[in-house]
This record gives sequence, C-alpha cells and structure tokens, in this order.
Amino acid sequence: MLRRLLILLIPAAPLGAAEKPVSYAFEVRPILSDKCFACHGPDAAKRESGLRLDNAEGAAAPLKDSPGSAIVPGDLSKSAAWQRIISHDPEQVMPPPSSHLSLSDGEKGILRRWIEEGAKYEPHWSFQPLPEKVAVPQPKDEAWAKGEIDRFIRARIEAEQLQPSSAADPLRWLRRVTLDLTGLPPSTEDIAAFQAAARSDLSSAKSAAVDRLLASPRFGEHFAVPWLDAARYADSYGYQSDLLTAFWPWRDWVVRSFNANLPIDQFMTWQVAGDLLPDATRDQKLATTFNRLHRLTNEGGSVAEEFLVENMADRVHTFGSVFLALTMECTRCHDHKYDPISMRDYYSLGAFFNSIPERGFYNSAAIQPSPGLLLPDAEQEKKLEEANRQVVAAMAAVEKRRAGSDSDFDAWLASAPPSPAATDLVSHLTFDGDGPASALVDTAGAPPANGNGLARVTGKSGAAVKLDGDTGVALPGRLAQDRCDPWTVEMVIRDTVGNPASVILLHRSFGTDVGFNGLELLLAGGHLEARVVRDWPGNAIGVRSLTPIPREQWARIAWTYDGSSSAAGMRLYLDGAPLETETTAGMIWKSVTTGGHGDGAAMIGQRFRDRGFLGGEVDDLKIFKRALAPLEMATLADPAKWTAALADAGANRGALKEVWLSSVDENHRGELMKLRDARAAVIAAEEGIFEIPVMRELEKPRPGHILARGAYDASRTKDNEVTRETFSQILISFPEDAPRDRLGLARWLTDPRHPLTSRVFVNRVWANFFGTGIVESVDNFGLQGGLPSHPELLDWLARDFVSHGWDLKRLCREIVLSAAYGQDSKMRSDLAQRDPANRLLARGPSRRLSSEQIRDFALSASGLLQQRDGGAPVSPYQPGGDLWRESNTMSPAYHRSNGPDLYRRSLYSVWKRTAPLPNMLAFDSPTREVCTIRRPQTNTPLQALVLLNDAQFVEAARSLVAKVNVLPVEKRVPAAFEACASRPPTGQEATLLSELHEEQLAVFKADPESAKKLLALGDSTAARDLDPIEAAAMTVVCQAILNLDASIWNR
Amino acid sequence: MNPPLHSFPGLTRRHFFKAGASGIGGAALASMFGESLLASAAPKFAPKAKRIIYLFQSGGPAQQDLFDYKPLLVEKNGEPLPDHVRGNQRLTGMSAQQASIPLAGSHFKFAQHGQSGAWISELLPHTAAIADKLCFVKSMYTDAINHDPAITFFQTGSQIAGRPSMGAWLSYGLGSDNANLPGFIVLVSAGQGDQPLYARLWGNGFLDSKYQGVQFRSGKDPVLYLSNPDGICQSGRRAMLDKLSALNRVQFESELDPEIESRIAQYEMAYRMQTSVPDVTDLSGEPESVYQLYGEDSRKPGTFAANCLLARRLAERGVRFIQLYHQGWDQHDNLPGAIRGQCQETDQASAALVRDLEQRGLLEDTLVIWGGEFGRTSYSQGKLTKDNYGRDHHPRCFTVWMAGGGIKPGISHGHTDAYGYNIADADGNPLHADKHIYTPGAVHVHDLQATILHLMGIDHTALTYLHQGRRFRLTDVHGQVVKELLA
Repeated sequence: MLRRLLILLIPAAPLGAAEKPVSYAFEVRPILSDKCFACHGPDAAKRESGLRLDNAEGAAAPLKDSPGSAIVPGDLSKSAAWQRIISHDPEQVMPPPSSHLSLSDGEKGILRRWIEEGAKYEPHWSFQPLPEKVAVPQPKDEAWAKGEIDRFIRARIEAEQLQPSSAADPLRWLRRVTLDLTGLPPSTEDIAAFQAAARSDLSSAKSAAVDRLLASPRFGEHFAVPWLDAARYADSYGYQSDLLTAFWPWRDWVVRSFNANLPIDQFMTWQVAGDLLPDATRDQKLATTFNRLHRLTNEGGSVAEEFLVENMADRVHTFGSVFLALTMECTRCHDHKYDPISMRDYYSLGAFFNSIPERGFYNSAAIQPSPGLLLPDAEQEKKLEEANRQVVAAMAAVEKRRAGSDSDFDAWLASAPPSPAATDLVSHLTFDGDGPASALVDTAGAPPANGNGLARVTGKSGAAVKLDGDTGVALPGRLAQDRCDPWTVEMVIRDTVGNPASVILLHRSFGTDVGFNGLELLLAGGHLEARVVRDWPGNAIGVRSLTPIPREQWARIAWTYDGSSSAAGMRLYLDGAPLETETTAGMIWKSVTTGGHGDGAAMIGQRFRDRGFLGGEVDDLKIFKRALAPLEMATLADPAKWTAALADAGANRGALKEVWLSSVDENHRGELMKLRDARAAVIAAEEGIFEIPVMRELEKPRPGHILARGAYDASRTKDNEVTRETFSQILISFPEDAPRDRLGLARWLTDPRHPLTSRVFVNRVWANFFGTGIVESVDNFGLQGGLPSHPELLDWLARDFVSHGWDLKRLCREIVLSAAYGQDSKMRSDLAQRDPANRLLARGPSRRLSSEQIRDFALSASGLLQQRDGGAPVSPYQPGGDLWRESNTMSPAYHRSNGPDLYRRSLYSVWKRTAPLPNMLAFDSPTREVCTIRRPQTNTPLQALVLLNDAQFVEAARSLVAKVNVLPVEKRVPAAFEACASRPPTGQEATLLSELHEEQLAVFKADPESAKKLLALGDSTAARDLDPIEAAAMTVVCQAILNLDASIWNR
Repeated sequence: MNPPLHSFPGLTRRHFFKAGASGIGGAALASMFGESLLASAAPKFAPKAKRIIYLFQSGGPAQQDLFDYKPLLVEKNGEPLPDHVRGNQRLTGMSAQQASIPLAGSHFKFAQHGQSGAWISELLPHTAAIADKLCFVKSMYTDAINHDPAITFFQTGSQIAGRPSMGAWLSYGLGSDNANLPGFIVLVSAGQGDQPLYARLWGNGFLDSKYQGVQFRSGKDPVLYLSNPDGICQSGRRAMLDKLSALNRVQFESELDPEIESRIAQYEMAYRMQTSVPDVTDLSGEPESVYQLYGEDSRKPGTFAANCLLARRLAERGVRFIQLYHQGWDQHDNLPGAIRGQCQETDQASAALVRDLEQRGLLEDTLVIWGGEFGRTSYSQGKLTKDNYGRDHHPRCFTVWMAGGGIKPGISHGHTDAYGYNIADADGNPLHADKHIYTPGAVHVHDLQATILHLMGIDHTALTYLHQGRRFRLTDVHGQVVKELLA
C-alpha cells in the first residue's frame, strides 16, 4: 500500500498525475471525508437519506429516496452522487449550501476520475496493520544517505526532481541537535570540544556529541515537556477556585523514565495500568497518576454524578488523543462522524476508566482526592514502619493480657457485679424539657448542647427533639477525635418521613457540600450507615446495615468503633442487637480531623447544604469513649439482659469477659490506651507523607452506560449498559488471553501489530526534530487527519522502533544523525515556490524555540540557570500584582521564589491552570486544562514585549554582561553573541553591535541614574559591581542579542 | 476554511499569515493582532455592528429583583414553590437538599419606564431612564447550573475548557481595525472578589494565541510587560530596536525566512503599543461632564465605571471586542443588601456608556450587551426572613439587555411564567425550550451568540475552524438568529 507518491503537496509537481489512477486513500477519501461523511458516514443516527458513502456497499446500495445508486462504478451518468455534485440547483447540489462546504473544480475532477476508474475503495491508511517489513527505497544518489531514513527522504526528493540542501555548518548542527535533545543551547565548552573533535573527524564528533546529549539528564527534562502537555499536567486543579495540588512526583517520574530510556511500550503500559501489574512497584503505581491529572472542581453545588462522567470522559479523550491520535470527543454524544468509533465503543472504553473509588470532586487543598498513593521518603518510610511495628507490639500486649487474665476475671465474676455500662460515658442528652430546645443540659457533664430552637415532641422517654432537615442540635466538645480513638454512640430515633436520600444523624466533619472529613452516621434509604472518612470513598472505612431500620417507631440505634481503622472494627446495633452489615469502604490513612471549612463541631440532624434528618425525632443520646462490648449494648437496651447473662455465667462467659476487659480490667484497658497511642503515632507518621492521586481498581467494575447526548443525567437502563466486554474489535482485536481491564487494554495498545500506537509515537518524535510530523496532524490519524508526506518512511520507522524494543534514544539517534536532519535550513528560491512548508525535507528544519526553551535558553546562556533535578514546583518572576488573586479571591497568593529557585528550568515552574505564567502563554504554551498534543507557533508583539521588558530576560541580559566581563574588552560582545547564537557574529553583525554599544554608552552617560536603576532590577547581583554606565550599556547590547532571531530560533 | 491563496500556489492562506511571507509588507503588519482569515466567511450581508462592548455581570444577577417583575412572588412570599412549577428540573447541590424551598418576593419596587413601558426595579434608576434604548431579553436559558461551566459555556460555547472565546472567534473572523491596539481587549473590575474569573474566558482555545483577549489592567502597566524596565528610556529603546532590526535583517538576508521579517514588524508594533496603550488608558483628558455622566466611581481607575469609560475610548479607536467583567452577583444569601451595592456600582455607568456612545454617533454600530451567566431562583436559598433572602443559581430563565448596533430598541422579548421560574408564552404557559429544536420566544445562549455574530455580519454556521478534523464553531451545532431582536 501507499506506493503512490504524494504529489498533492506540490501543485506544480512535474510528475504527470494523469498516467496513474486516482488514489482513493490519498486523493479521494480526504475529499469524501471532509465534504460528505458528516452526513453520509459512520454515524448511523444522523445519516441523511440512509446513504452511506464511506464504504463501497453503501455507495452502491439502492437509494432510498430515488431510483438508482449514489455511485455506479465506471458510470458517471448513472451515479446519482455525481449528478448531485455537478447540479446547479441549490435544492439538489451536494454538498448542500447550508453546509458551507463546496467542492472545487480540482476536487470534482478527482471524484469524476475515481468513479470513471471504477470507484474502488481502500481502507484508511493508518488503520492498516503495521507491516512486518518495509522495503527501503534505493535512491539514485546512494552516497548522500547516512542511514535508511535518508534513503526514503532522498528517493522522494529525487522523485520530485529536487536536490537536497548542503550540510549545515557544524556549529549550526551542534546548536540544533543540542536544543532538540536537551532543550538548551550548547555551552561554550561544548562548542570548543566539538570543534576540536570535528577537526579530525566530523562524523565521529557528531556521533560522540549525540551520545553525550542522549546521556544527559537534560534529555529527559526536554522530552517531558510535550508529554506534560499531552497528559494535561499542572500544579493546580483547574476550574474556578483552582487551588494548588501536587502532582510533581509524577512529572519527575516522566523525566526519570525518559532519561532511563524506559521502553516506550512499558512507559505507556505503566501509565495506563501500572497499578494492575503483578507486584506493582511504587513507580508503576505512580505512573497511573496520568489518568488523574484531569481538572477537578470543588465548586459548591456541583453534582457528583456529573463530574464522575466528566472525569471518565477526560480520561477517554486523553487516552485517545495521546496514544491513538484519535478524537474521541465527538463520540461522547454520537457515533463518530468520520472514524469507525461508535458511541458504544466510547462508553465501553470509559468502562475501563470508571472503576476507581473516587468522589468526583476535591474539597480542600489539604486533602488529596482518593484513591491515592503515599510516597514516603526513606526517613518517613522508616518512621512509618517503626510506628506500625509499635502497633503490632501493642496489639500483642493486648492479646497477652486477654489470654492471661482468666483468674482476675473469675474473681470479678464471683462478686456478682452490676452492669458497668456507665463507664466511660462522656455525654448524655435526654432532650427533656418544655418548649423549643435551646441550651440542653448534659447529664454526663459535657458542655450543654444547642437545640437551635428545634421543636420538642413526646419522646421515647420524656421529650425528644424533632428535626426539620435544615437545623440541627450542635454538640460542642464531643467526638472531636481521630480514627485511632474508639467510641460508642447510641441514640433513640424515630424516622417519620423516610427520606430516600441519606439522612445525617450525627457527624463530626469539616467541609463544604463537595467534601467532608470526619465521622458520619447516616440513614440511606432506611439503612443505617456508618463512616469514618478522610476522602470518601477511596480513603475511608464504612459499613452499612443489610436490613433497614423500621420507620415510624422508636428505634434504639448504636454505632461502636474500636479505633482499629478497619471496617471490621465497626458494629451497628438496633435495639441492643448487632445488625448484619456490609463493608462500603475499607482503606484509610492520615487524619480524619483535618481542618478546612467549618468548625468541625458534631451535629445531630444537619449538615451544610445537605439534607438533614427531616422529620426525624431524636431522644436519649449517649456517647462513650470506648467501644462497648455486645453484652453492654444489649444491656443498654434492656437492663434485664445483664442479670440474665449473670444467671447463666457459664454459657455467657465469653460475652461477660468482653465486658470485663473493656470496662473493668485496668490492665487490659491500660494496654488498649497504649494501642491507641501507637495508632495515633501511625497517623502522625502518615500525616507528613506526600500523597498523590493514582488509579486503584474497585473490586467489582462499575458498569457504564451510553449516555444520550453525553449528558450525565441521561437515562441509564439495561439496554444502554456497556461493559469492558462490549468494547468492540476496533483497529485490532483485543488479545484473547488479556484480562478485560486496563492492563489488558495496555496490552492491546502496545501490541506490535497495533496500527496506531507506534506510528503515532514515532511521528511525534519526528515532529520534535523537524517541527512537523510526517503526518502533520500529530494529534489526528483519523480520516480527517493529514496524510503522511512519507508513508513508507513512517511505517519503516514504526516497525524499526517496535522491533528494537520501543527504544526512544535509539530512534532519536537515528534521526539526528541522518543527512536529512543535518541539512542547512536556509530557504532556497526553488523550495520557496515548490515546498515552502518543507514537507519534502529538501532542507533542514527551523523553528522558533518553545516557551520553556526561550526562558531556559536565556537562563543558560547568561549563566543564571540552576540545574537541580525535580522536586516541588518553583515560582519565577511574574509581572503586575498578584495575578493569581487578581480575579480569583479563592486562590492562594502567588509567592515568588527566592534564590536559586528563581532560575530553575521552566519545566519546574508552577503551572496554575486558570492563571498560567504570562510569559509562557505569550509563546504558545497551552493552559493544560485539557490534553494538548500540538502547540501553535505564533509571532505577536506581546512576545517582543516579554523578551524586552520581562524582569527575567532583562536580568538574564545583565548576567550575560557579568559572564563576559572577565574577557578582554574586545572579546566581550562576540562572546555574548556566541553564548546565545552558538556561533561568532559576522563582521556586519559585530559592527552593528559595537555601534549599539557606543550609542548606549552615550545614553547612559547622559543619565547615569538610569544606569543604576537598570542594574537594580531583579534579585541577581550580577554586574552590579561593574562600572554602572558600562554595565548598563552592555546590558542593552546583551538584550539585543537575546532578542535576535539567531538566538530564539533554532535554525 | 483555509482557502488557497492564489498568488502563492501551494500555500494556504492560513500558512501565509502564520508564516508571514516576503514581499507582503503591509499585510504582514496588519496580521499582528490577527486580520480576517475568513475570505469565505467574510460578511455576506452588511454588518449592523462593527464592535461589541460586553458588560458581563459575573455571578448571575437576580432577574426577579432587576427586570422580571413578578408580583405573584410577593403575594406568595414564603409559600413553597409548587411542584408543578418546578417540574423535574434539577437544583444545585446547594439547595437541592434544603428541607423547604419558599418563594421569595423581591423587596424592591418595580415601575414601568419610557414609551416602551419596560418594568424595571427601583435599583436601576439610570438604566430605567434609557429604557427606550434597550432591548430586554427575558427568556434567556442556558445548559449549565454552576459558575465555572456556565460562564465558560457563555463565553466559549462549551462547558468544557479548550474552546475559543467569543472575542477570539470575532478576532479570528474579522481581525482588528486598529493596527496599534489588540482587537480583543478585556477589562475586569478591580477588587470585586466573589466568583473567580480566569484567562480561559478570553482565551484562544485551539485558535492561534494572537486571537486571545489582551487584559488591560488599571495601574502602571495596563498591559503586562508593556513598560520599559526602569532605567530604559524610550529614546534608548528606539535606538536599540533600530539596531535589533538591522541585525535581524542581516539574518534575514542569509536565511530568507519571511518569519524574520514578520518578527521585525512585531517589534515595531510592540513599540507603538507602548505609546498607544497608555494613550488610550489615560482618562485624565476626559472633561468633567464625562465623569459626571459616568458617575464618581469613574474617577477611580479599575472600577466598573472607569472601565465603561475606557471601553468607550477603545471603541472609538476601533477595538473590535471589548469585554468587561464585573464580579459580585452571586447572591446566595443576604441578597437585598448585596444587590443594592452591585447596582450602585454598575447602573449609572452602564447607562452612561449607552448615552455616551449615542452622543458620539457610535451607538448605531456598537453593540452593547449586559448580563450574566445564568439567573437566580424564585425561591429563597437558606432561611427566608422578613428582611432577608438568598437566591440559588437558575439556568431555566434569566434576563439580558442589549442596545445599539442593529438591535431593536425599546422592546422586551420573551416571557417567564408568573413564578419567574420557566420560560413561558405571552399568556404565561410554559414553553418547553430545547436547544436542539429552536423554540420561538425562548433564547438559548447559542441563539444569543448566533444573533451577536449576525449583527457583526457573520453567519454563525460559517464561522468555523477545522481542529483535529472537525469544524468547530461558537454555537456548536445549535443556535438560531433571533430575528425579533433585530432593528
């Protein structure tokens, strides 16, 4: 396939197009796709007149609305589509005027010839399996080629009857390859060493330079940047308040992976499904943060289900764009208009990504959204291990006492003891009294509760309060404890309404309507539910009763918790009898009393912007500071239970002993206190540990549903349910022995036969070096995407890449040592006419440095750059006031970094999605709110203003002055020029610069105060010790140099 | 899009402007802030408006307290919103769980004004005085119920981030009329707080970044990076730029890359902006009468009033799209006090802008738009008391007003039911508006966007951009020009 040379690029191409049949894949299909498929393509729901033109069967099928077929191969007059295309009747002509699409005469000519030649369809090029072997062409000029890549390029250039450009000057090549492999310009030393080596053997000097650059840690930093764009990496959540988050360990993992040359199939697999790999390492789990980098909201009033759908959709879109270069967005609302992806496939793919314990929001910057991964450093890990060891030891001590306490217990039992249930009672409210509830006396001595004017009704005994759903009883000073502390809560309630939504009986929490942390006791559809929450549901424990609580009668409910941080440590009771429960959440770390919004006071029947216990009546609340034993719970409900148990002490020995251990035995109670303290130490050890959101699979996958028009609240029925199994066999079949989970999906993705994965990736690497991919639309390989300029080369590169173990550095090496890459980039008059966009690569690549590169280049050339690997983001100079808080008072303030952190590589600069650094945006950085594969390259006056006036660049110019000041006077300007342009200035350039120097000296001599002001700018003290007039004049000269095309373009 | 440029075979027009091209001189200059790329979508009918001043009221002003007179709410104050009125419409998580949702009548008096008899609240005396110049659309509705998605939807046509804003679309479609100022300028009232605003709302999305809105700030540097660093005087800068230009020209002669010429031109433009921007943002030359017209606040840089005055100056200089934002309308609680303050900050200057434009003969081709991202509920969020109430977000109906540039003055379009809860016909019967099927009488955000583009001479279905293989447009696949609003 794809034998045909692509001449569309070059209208004046000398090759006679007429001798060859029209190519469906390269000439016809792009027209049909762009002009016809939106209405006559794969989307069955919107197919006009039932006509489908994207396959031969559809085109030949009898028309619904008129006799005949759309296309009759070889017969224009019988082809209804052709007749409509050439019609002048606005009612008839295709495409219809309302589409604003039209066919040019050239396009009509291609369609005409295609029909005449038999209207043959071919499959879309990029969906064809990657060939096992790709033949390398033999160009006439064999000597030019340095490797296989060049044979493809040269053959194509020859076919177009063009000549390649001469090799770039070695220094130009060195600058190019250094910028392209590390993002930084070559240092003076690099240049000198290269020149020395090149004098003896240019070819081996180049090879050695490439090896050096590929081994540099700067390589990974540079290659990470486009991956961060694609993965929508940022240091804030996005959406309106846009609080800061901390994903940077994942960013550092990306850098490390590129530097370590982690095979790209593994690089992809880890990110999609690292958590599911057998015995997954910390890095493998960390890699899955990729799927959690999407924006998250904490806007009050948001609906969880809406954002769970948004999160899933963003993961699918990003997966599609990053790995497959397919646009999945369309398919959220309807079958794809161009590519063979159905809505069913979209939501089936979504089912791979929707099954983690997430809530859909974040609440505050203090708590990482679950599920997360703890990333302790070595010292923290040691501390945590030690704390856990202490817990194990304390538990053993508890066990030891339990086992060795029989004689003490027997002595106690022999004394016919009364029920000890009042032990550790810390709060008791009877709600008794007349009139609306106000200050309520606590008979156990806790501070008075506040009834907030709630009505009193007749209770189970005496009076009870009746809740209205919006007002609660505040319980100051109670339950202000963490998950290491045991408790028992018992109360008598009557549910008179039976709200279907969860009803809060009691909680202690901080938070807004999008997130709480603390303790919760809920009635959900009548079921009693208890939770201890840091971030529901992935960082929490919880149980729910299997049977509902009876409505409209008094029910004595209770919740005991033993401080063990496990669901098994919770028990629910109804009228003194334990309820059967199921676990709703079972993993928790860090504190559940993290402050945030609100005061964290315990409440009955009310929570901020939540449905309280509307119509609920509450009586006789008791809170204990320990988990009462089952027999005690029974006794609380019915005191006779105690005497009955004592009466048959033999049969009830176990239950009685539990009571004794819990409430009486000071030895055991002492060990429990130690256990509690050991558990508190674990929480303390966890608190300081860095946590990052990752993927963690639910035990049972959630089903997905095809949501009409993509709306989260569209109906979900059995009919539109999808699962991972319903993901159809698109592109290549799902490996039969692969699990139907993300790991299986990763295997499907990295299958060596996969038509897209490797092609898409090598194309993007190619674009890193040539500015443009072999397929220009690096983000779209679908039917509406661009066509490869060198299809066979793309296939060869992809196959070569896969068969050599997805080795990124090897691929880079092959490209940068090619003759094609090494050509001079100067525009030639013949190419200006024939191939201005340089698709044929008859000259070398040239393009402006990226936003990060421009700043890094200035820091590096001036000697300001601080090289330190990774870590938390830093905050460089920002102009104006506090741009973070200017229009967003919910945002934290911008705190500029000091010292070395001001001068780190831009990759490490803090990235706030709704207020990104303006000097980066000016040079086309995306906001990173969504996946971005391709940055535009624009040229605006704002860029000039940044480079001329931004403190960062002015300071860099001044530092460059200091850097060259050690040289003799006449060498300073050339050295500054060389530091930026990596070549000496030409005579003309040197003259202009020296004139500029003279002029500026005059300017500052006339106004010495200005010179001092200019030198005062920025934190760096560089050049402040020099003669101010000279230093200021040279600063302006260096500014000019930093602003040159020779500086900020890679040519 | 991207029609071939006949004089440069093989070059698309887009490439041509992106890359610049040797020998095009003036065209390269004009491209700096984005000229029209839309040869094919260029106005097929005469535009009524040449520019837009959009007074965006962020947070969602309460229509029941400003424009949409609902005596029934006063009558039934405190009674629950009837189920048949609410229907199955969703509420936000903020009030959905409220045990009761009591109707809240406005505390403010309404009266009819002008020949048109428009009902306007006592909170807006200045707006009331120009009622006959305004067109009220009372039957607006939107898709989103929370601020971020709703304001993003209003300004970019999508709730999801990543799409170009309305101003970016217009810059892309129509370019700039002033070679020294950006075509799309954003002014945000200083120090307002409340619901955040962010660059996405005036972003370029997938369009080139030259189409993004440029925020003008009050203070020393109206545009970030505009001022020379301390110690650099303008003559020294000029001398340096001349040498820089000469050096870049040397490079051009060797590389022959038209991008270099384009860069040289960008530096000249930047230099001119250093004069033109301070010139336009310096309000000190305005006569006393103008300050009196716009109100005392207009003397304070960064206020809404000062920004309105600045907007007029920008309009005079041919800036295509001037987007003001005023935060503070998100009155979930304590509405009566808060809305009074908001109105004091905005009423006089909004009306003054319309009058001022008219006096200068600019109103006829300047479209002024006033409104927020959604409306507010007719029931009280939180406790309804004698003195106090709050209102939650309400996407089902709200009011915006427009004036000038081809808009029919002195009319009120669309109705809501007696509860101010649903869009209704003239008899108060609910209209079941659906953006998928245009419903006369109801104006979806996409309909408003289509109408705005129409007034600017653009067919909203033709202003498209091919991104990742799909033609995107501001109105997605919806939108209908609301003919009833056109003069």
